[in-house]
Amino acid sequence: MSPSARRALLLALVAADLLVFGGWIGVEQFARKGAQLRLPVEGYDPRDLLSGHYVRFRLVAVREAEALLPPGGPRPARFCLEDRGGLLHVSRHLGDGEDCKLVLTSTAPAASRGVDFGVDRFYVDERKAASVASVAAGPQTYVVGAIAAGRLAIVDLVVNGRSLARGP
Amino acid sequence: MHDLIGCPASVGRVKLEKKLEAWRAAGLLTEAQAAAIRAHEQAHQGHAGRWVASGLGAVGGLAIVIGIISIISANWSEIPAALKIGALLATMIGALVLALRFAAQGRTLVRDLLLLGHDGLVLAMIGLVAQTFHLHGAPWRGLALAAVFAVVAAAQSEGALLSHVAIGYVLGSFWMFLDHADLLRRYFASEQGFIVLPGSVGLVLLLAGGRLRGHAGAAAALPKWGAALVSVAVFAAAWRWSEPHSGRAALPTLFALLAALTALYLVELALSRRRARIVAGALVAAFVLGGAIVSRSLGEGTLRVTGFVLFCAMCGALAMAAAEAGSRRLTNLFTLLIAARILVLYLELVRNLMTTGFGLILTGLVFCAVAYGWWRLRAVVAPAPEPR
Repeated sequence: MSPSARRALLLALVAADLLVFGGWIGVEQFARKGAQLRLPVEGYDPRDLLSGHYVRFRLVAVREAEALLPPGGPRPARFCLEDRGGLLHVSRHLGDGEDCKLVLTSTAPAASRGVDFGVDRFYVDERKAASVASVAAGPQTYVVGAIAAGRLAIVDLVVNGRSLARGP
Repeated sequence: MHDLIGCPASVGRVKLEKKLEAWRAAGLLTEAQAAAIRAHEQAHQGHAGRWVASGLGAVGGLAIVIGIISIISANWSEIPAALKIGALLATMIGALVLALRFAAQGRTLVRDLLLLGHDGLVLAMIGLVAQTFHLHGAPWRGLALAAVFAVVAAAQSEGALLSHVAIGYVLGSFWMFLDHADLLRRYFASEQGFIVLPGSVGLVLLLAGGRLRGHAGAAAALPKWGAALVSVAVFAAAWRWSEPHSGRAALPTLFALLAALTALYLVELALSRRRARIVAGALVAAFVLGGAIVSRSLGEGTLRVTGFVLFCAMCGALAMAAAEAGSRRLTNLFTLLIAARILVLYLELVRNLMTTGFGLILTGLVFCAVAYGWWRLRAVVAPAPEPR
């Protein structure tokens, strides 16, 4: 390989770093610009040690969606959300051509019978993780995020009224 | 034979002296030339003081780096996300810019080390973005993205270092993909899984290494990874030869793929016209494929003896191929494996230390006799070098 070709490859790597990671970060930032919504969570493993300092949780919306998911229905499955007392819950499954104001799309593979909204963990400082371990899910425990194009982009996890995204 | 401060000469200097004497005795060097070589080596030898200074400096530098990492880790949550991401991205770009500079100066090792660091930083950046935005997804995607960067970096390097990293990333992401698709559990639920999966991937790498002669780094790295994976298949096959198993192929499609790849590789070996390699390849194929389909209809004793004979023949052929290729280490390794297999056989069949001991002594005498006979035969067959 000639020196100019090597130089071109290295310059391509520089461009790739900027475009790939810059673009990825830009997309994630933009996805979190919308209205901040709240979805309740239930039952979680406070620390998944294999994933570092991540709090694992399960959205209530996942259980609600799985109860409404028709067998053999269209994929990816889409669900309508409605506000109940300040928290969003799944109200109905959307068929082909149907729409509503707030939609969440499941990212589970077509062959799967389950529902996955792509949100099940939150990175948290180790000092906070210990206190999270002793808290049970309730009306003051929810994720905060923005919904764009059927995808939930998480911004915060509030446990018992206490935000984990803000400093200790 | 003493250096300036009166300590005994280093092992390296002793070896050099032995070589100089041997070359002088063979008439390849005059005494004046040998003296000039000694003087040159003495002049370029590192001084003890410089070694101590550079050692202390390296320890100090390492302590500083670890200290900085510790402080950053302790205050990780307090550091704004934008600063973390910006600093890491700047480090990645900085590594590439420096690599460009050193490449222009012809300092390819430093360039490759910087690109090696960049390969690690790409993984770190993927993890940092996922952590910052609380993302989750199939882990194989992150490693696959890092693999793309690593392959591009390896493409412009003549050395094998970056190629090894790229191959490691690709294989790692492939492994994670199989796990994510729940295929690993299926493959390794079958006893053949440990043979057909690593064997097939290993052969693909060996075949690819033979074709990428235009890229020296990949041509050097791919066969090593391929051989390592095929070794996994060989040891899994050795286990199957040691105990009766079901003869039905539980993974027929994969087994057919393994057989086809084996045939392709044997054809490639045959085209190389190196007899030792062809024989070694054929014996490895017989051992591995036979191990994958070994039948319960073979009695336990017949199975063990057949497996033993095949294993020893295979290692013997590999030792000869390694000797032909000029690798003393590999030759010793394969002959050592034969010795280990003999010990295992005695323990399997006899299960008695006393009898094993006498059997090993007898076997050792046979091996020594064969080695002596081989040595004498080669001395008789090989023509003596013509005197100058």
